[in-house]
Parts: sequence; C-alpha cells; structure tokens
Amino acid sequence: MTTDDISNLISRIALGDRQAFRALYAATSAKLFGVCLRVLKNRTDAEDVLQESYIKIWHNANKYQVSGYSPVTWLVAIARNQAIDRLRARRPESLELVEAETVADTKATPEQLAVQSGEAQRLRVCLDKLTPGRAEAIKAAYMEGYSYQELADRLEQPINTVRTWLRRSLISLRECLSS
Amino acid sequence: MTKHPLADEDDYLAAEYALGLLNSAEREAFHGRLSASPGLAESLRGWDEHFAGFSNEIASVQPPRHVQDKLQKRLFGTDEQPTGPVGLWRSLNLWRSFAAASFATLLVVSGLNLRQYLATQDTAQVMVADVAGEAGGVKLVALYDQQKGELRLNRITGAPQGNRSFELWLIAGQDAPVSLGVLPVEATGHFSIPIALRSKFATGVLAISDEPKGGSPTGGPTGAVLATGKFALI
Repeated sequence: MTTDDISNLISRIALGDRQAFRALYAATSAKLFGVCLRVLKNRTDAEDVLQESYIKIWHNANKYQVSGYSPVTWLVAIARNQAIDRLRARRPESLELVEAETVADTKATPEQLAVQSGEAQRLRVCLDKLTPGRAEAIKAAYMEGYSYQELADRLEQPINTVRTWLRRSLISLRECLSS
Repeated sequence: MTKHPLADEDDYLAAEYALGLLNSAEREAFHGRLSASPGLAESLRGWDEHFAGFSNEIASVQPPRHVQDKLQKRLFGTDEQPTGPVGLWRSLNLWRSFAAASFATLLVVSGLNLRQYLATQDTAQVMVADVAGEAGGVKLVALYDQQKGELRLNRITGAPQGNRSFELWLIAGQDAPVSLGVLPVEATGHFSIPIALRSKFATGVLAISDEPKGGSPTGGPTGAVLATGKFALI
C-alpha cells in the first residue's frame, strides 16, 4: 500500500466510507499501536489511546486534505498527541506501576532503519550537527514523550537550563532543516 | 535569525508541542490557539513532518483484535466484521508479518493491491471511482450508493479559478455527457442522482470539465475535460 493509497482511504473516510476505514485500520494500526506503546509503556493504556485515535481519525478525516499533512505523518501525529495527552493526565502515583510494566521490544531492526524517507535522513543529518547530547535529548523527548520537567529530572539539571539549551538546539535545527 | 529567537517564539513553541515537551496546561493553551492561527498550524505541520522521521525507528506492534471490535461497536454500533477473504487473510498472518516489517518497508515493498482487497468486500451496493486527470491537477474520489442513488464526492486536489466552475458529467456509452451538476466550492459534496440515470453508473465514466462560473451555458461540456474516472464495485 502506497502513501497515495492511504491518502485515498482517508479521503474516502471523510465521505463516511466504512470499508475504507477498515482497510486503513488494517494497514496502519500496527504502526500507530507501536507509537502509542512507546510513549505510554502500558498495553491497556495504549489500546485505549489507539481506539481514541481511530475515532478521531474517523471524525476528522475531512480536515486531513486541507491540513497539508502527508498521510502517515497525519495519522502518527494524531496517535502520538492522544498518547501524550494521556501520559500527562496520569496521576503521579500511578507512574511507578506503569514504569515497572515491561512492554514488547520497540526497537526497530536495521532493515527498518535502512528504509528511511528523505525527510528522516535530513532530520538525522541536522541532528548530528547539534552540540553533543542535545540530539539525544530531542529524540528522547519524541520517543518517550518526556516533558521538560521529566527531561530535567533525568538530566539532573534545572528545568530552565534545559529549556534554554533545548530551545537553542531547536533554533539550529530549524535553520539546518530549512536550508 | 539566531539573534532574534523571540520573533520566532511561536515556531519553537510548535516544535516543543510536536516533541511533547509541554505540560498539560501548556498543551491545552497551545491547542486552543491552533484553530485560530493558521500560521501556528502550518508551523506545527512542518515540525511534525520533520520529526516523523523518528517514528520510523519505532517498531510496529499488532494490536489485539478486541481493539478493532470495540472500535467498530463504538463508531458503527456493530462489531460485525467482514468475513470470508478477510478471515483468510488473517489466518495467513499477513498483517502480523507486515507488522514485523517496518511500515516504510510495507509501503515500498509489499505492492499490496488495494483494489483487489476492496474487491473482496461484500458491499455490492457501493461503487468507488478515482477521478483524475493525466496532468494530476484535478483529482477526486467518488462513492456511489446504488441503493440510495446518492453520489458523494471528495476533491483531493485542484480548484477552479475565480470566474470558473468545475462541472461533473456522466458519460454512458455513446450517449452525450449528462450534467450531474456543478461541484461545490467545498472539498466534499453530495449529489442525488435522478432515477433515470442510476442504471448507467455501473458502466459510465465520470468526467470533470472546466466551465464558466455556475456551469456550462449549453447543457454540454464547453471547457477542457480535466479529469475522468470509472466506477468499480467495492
């Protein structure tokens, strides 16, 4: 299934096409579930959030075309934002329990990494140009859904310090990505 | 640019949102501004596209079956699943093997024929057409419900110039094109098809022509035909 096929399915979903919705779910739910699991590290929560994400996809499909997003990015952004909202809404006391739970290995294989889009390669090149350690922090924020506070706790640095250098890194990243 | 980072405050805020660095209150505030600010939405889209590269490194994981069942029930009030070919596909562990491969690999390598898959579905009442031009400037998907005689359209690319309209035609066999109406300005639209025309949809061709605003003055297409498409059952 090509990205055009996925785009086409979303366009049909905007018209209320249930078959298209099933086909989209079949083709993309494993990818989105992987994203939810990675952020939430808890299967029950990830299943819930996956469900919420597809409900959102069903209802917001008509907004996809005008959004200008590429189809897979649009889907991933919906799932990831739902997952992060869920993560932030968690009560602090449940955190330990959640972190203790083991989830499936979510590391991609070398084969998977080899097949990367031009966009992904560009991101990697630009990340490599950042001050050592900064790229890792940015990536960790994306992959694990860390907030500034969590990042600061993990790095044992004041939150404002982290905020300052991370912003600076984003500025460099923006310049590199748009050059 | 680095000297004036504050001028780009919103752009970096969008990046922080995209990465997930903001706390609940900050996320909510950002979200609230998003719909009112096209610039902010565009900035977020840019960052989302850039960071999407990270998601390639996350392995796909097949969700348990009950998630889809619950989803079907919540959205459509039924947990009914298509049977037959789909069941077979499941037993072949096809999706499971796709899940093991990366999504990117799936996109590139599998060459999965969507049409073929959809053709196995048992919705005899609904037909779909991709209406596209050779130049790729105008493209839309059309769904036709034979039972209701209802045609639904979703325009993917292309829009008429200010003083022009897109008109939709059905061309059946050797007959002259019959106008189905002018496409609405919005991307999606509904057309109720006259009973006399309904039987011709299965074999007919849909066409979009460029016409003066409000539609063809002659009753037949007068401008360039920008896109055509044929229906197939799904």
